Amino acid sequence: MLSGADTLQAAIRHFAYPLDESFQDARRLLCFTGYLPIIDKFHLLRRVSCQTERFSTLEDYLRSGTPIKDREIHDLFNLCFPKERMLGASELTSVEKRLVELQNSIRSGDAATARELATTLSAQDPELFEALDIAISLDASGGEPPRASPLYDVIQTVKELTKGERSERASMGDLRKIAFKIPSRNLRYYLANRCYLSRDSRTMQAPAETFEIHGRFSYLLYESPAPSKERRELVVHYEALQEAYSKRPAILAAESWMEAGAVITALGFLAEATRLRFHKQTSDALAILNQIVSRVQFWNKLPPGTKITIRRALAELLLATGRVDEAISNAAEVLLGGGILDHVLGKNLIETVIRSIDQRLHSKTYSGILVACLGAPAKQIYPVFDNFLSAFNTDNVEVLIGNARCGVHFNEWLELVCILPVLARSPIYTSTIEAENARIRLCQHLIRVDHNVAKLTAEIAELTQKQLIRKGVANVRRSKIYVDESGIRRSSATTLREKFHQFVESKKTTGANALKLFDAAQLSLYLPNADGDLVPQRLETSAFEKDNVRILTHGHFLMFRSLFLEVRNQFVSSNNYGLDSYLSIRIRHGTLQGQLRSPFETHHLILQRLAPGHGYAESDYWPSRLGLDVLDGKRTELHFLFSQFSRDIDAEIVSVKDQMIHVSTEEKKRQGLFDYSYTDAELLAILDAKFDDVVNYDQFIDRTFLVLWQKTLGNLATVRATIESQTAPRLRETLSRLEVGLRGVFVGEGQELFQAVTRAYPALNNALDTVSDWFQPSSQATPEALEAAVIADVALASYRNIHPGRPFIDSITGEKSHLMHGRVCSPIYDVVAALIDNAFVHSRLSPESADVRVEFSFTQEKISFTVGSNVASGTSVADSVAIVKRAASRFMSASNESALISEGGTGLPKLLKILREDLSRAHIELDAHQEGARRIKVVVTIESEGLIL
Amino acid sequence: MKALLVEDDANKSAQVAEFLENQTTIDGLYEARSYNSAIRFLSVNPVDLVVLDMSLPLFDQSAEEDGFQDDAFGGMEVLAFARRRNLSTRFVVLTQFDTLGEGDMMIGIDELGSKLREEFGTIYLGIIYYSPAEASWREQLKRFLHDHSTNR
Repeated sequence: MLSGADTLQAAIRHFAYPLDESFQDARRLLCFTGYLPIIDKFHLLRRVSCQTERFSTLEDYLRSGTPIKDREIHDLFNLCFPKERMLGASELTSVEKRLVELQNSIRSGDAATARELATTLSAQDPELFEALDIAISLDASGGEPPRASPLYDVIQTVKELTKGERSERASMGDLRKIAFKIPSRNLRYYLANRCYLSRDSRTMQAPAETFEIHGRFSYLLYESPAPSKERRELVVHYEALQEAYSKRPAILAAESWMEAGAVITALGFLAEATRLRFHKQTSDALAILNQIVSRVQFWNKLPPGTKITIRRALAELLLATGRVDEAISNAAEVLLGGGILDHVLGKNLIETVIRSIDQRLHSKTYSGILVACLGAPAKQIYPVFDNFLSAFNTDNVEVLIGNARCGVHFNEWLELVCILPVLARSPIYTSTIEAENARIRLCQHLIRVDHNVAKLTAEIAELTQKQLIRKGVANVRRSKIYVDESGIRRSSATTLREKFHQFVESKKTTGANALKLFDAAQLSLYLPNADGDLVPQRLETSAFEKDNVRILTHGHFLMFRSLFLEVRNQFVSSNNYGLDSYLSIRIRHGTLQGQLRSPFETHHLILQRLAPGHGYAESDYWPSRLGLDVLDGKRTELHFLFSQFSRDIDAEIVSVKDQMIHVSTEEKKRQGLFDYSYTDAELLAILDAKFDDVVNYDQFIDRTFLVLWQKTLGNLATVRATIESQTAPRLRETLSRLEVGLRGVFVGEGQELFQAVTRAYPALNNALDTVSDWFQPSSQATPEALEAAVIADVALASYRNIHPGRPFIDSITGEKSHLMHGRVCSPIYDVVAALIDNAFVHSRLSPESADVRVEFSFTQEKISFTVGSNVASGTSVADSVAIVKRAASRFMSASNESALISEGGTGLPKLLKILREDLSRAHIELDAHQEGARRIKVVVTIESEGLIL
Repeated sequence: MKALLVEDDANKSAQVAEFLENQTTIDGLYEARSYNSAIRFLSVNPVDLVVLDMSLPLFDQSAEEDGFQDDAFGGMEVLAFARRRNLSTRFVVLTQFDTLGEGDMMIGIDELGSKLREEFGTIYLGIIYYSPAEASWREQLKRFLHDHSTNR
């Protein structure tokens, strides 16, 4: 069986490797070692290739449940994705098990066991070609298969052919006869495949089932009028065969038949080198292979697959003789040529490069290319990258572009080594975005020089999209403190405008003519008392002149106060447009709780609340990690501590939500930190400073909003300070109490649990920083237009950031590349968040059990958001559907104003408010359906007009 | 001597900084919050001692920076950087984990200490377990500071 992190990493890369039409990538399937004959793998490859339109990666294909007989692929898949089941796997037969055992012994370097197993197996069943191949490979001094076996006949025939003892035609005729005698269909394919590679095969009568292979491979041999693409595919396939099975006699024979002259000579050399190496004559073996490479004209005649085979053998020999530099360069050439390295060789080479502190070794492009191609993690590639740059006395890779001293394959080095996670470790970039931009510039350079254009263009698009999504998520995060100013202007224009004109008129009555009527001795001044209220006091005329006081009637002030406070009330309390409504939708309704619970949910430290009064649901996560069964007393104590912790955290969140994040005015006295109360003295000062020269209504409204935003800035600073000084310490203290409690229960054990607790501290700090960051005024800049898919991704990423403990599957369909107004990001997030929240909460399932699926669909006419989920067994799906339909019908016909500023319930009134007001949708369809036995689906559909550009 | 404290947890950082500032052996204390800010600082500012957290994010965390997660062994990359650049700075690791890593990669603090000693030799002075509730880390750190200032 395969084991070890390296093999897994390699396997995961294979599974995630994209398929494409040219078979360039799918052919990797052939390189998996398995008990199936290579020809069966070829069929598998073809099946996969036929699916490329439906599946973009091998992983997708394997996950689709299409039966695959290869046990080893099945094992790899299970190792990579242990929670998944792949269909089609069956128990191995006893012979198959022994073949797997044989391969494992070869991989582990146990030649003695391998030889014994191979000999036994091939004697037991002469048709086990693989065993025979291995037996012969292991006995390079002339071991032969049993005389009664078909392989013996094959080898003998080939020997006669290569020694020139018989004509090619006669040899091929013999081989054909052998093929016909073999009863096994697979084996017949196997041999017939090779027979028909011969030039003389065009005259042969092939069995029906070999026609297809014959037909396809014949394109390789003759200058036939076959389409060039197909021919190219077959060449690629043939090279894959060579790479995967280079040392087997049957393949060598096939190669001999296929390639005249150079190849047969090269492979002869290679076989001789292999024999010498087997007999520990390494330097002689090396000398032979070096001869092949050093004869340039000869070398250039060899097909790529043969070159790869020879370079791989060279790499092995050079490493064994301590010539590390050359071993690495040959291995890198193998990888750049699309070949793969034997697992052990790859591992040894990567260790050699990574362990080396020799800067000179790292200053070669080959070193970086090798570690990058072999899939080393970025932290291991970075030192090699850094040393390369040091050799040129720079930290900045971009200055090396165009430097001829960088060596061969520098473009490949830029492509493969200077990947984002490596650049991100460089001291010259201070953020992810700087590193991303550097990578984009490198890709642009490589595209300019025509290097791997398609792949790098796709990479630039992906990075650019990531940046747009990140920017969008930041915009959504920074749009929580919002007031729909234009909505207020629109809705209150008539009443406010009238009042404004009265206010302007009242000022005119304080003109010079009116003053003549006053007796200064009888006049009073309104001055502030200790509470800031203006109270009349007798006028001292001497002070009057000294302070250069201007006269204003109290009536005019009262008019201003009334008008200003009316706008203020709309600003903070308008159900549709005011701050409190947005605080409710964007912070108080689930978002705050989700964000502050997230550091604990990520580490499974907080429990899911049951219905009110029923406490918290027991989680199985830590009991199962810690091996606590249901009767274990520690399990009870653990649940008790987690329940207490969850209760305390939730209580703190509720106090923030219900007390801090509310609006308070002189009329609505609350504990809320959004204090918009004004004393008369403050209002008089505002009137004097900001409104004295106001002459028209729009100017008045603009100035009022300005004053209110200035007040908001002060309130936001207070909220941030309170979070830092009160909420944060209380939450940390609660976590600390949990830790103390857990340490009392788990003494000298539970390291993983305590790691989780320790990680929760910085995670909590980050969550608090995020919450604090919400309390900034929204950006007034108009966001740029974005593709529909990006807007959907922004909404999904924003939700996942806030609720990392709620997994769901998403899909985006339709006309995804349509541009939409950037301003719709936040409202669309609000809609989707409300729908997903409902799915999780009303499914009455734990987040782990809930199967929530979110779909976005964009067309020129309609945009729809669909959220489906399963529901708990005790809940009636039909009733749930009816409840949603009833609520939708009720709120569609009449809006529920009070629900817009209070939390709890379905959030449907809020959702409809967002659609109607924030997205200006006149027609909204909201429907629910039952899906299958236990699923409910809620669909919201709106018109695209005005949203899509 | 001049010291750099590399720590991403604000509370731990405040506590350790307060302790270091009160040590007579320290006459200049600087702070970094990530692998990136640590190596950028070390690239241009020679310090005598680094008090280094082992689990670090790649970049300083901020509202705009969410690209890379914490690395359980990010501190080792800082050490590797210093070794590659031949810095004469010495490092004391101060971690609040008594085990680090996950699954097969999980490693106890003592084992990690041995590994760091083997890999980084003289630039690595030692490892201390930090717990906000305990005072022992202060004593151990004090001892390292004293020994290092004496041996300089």
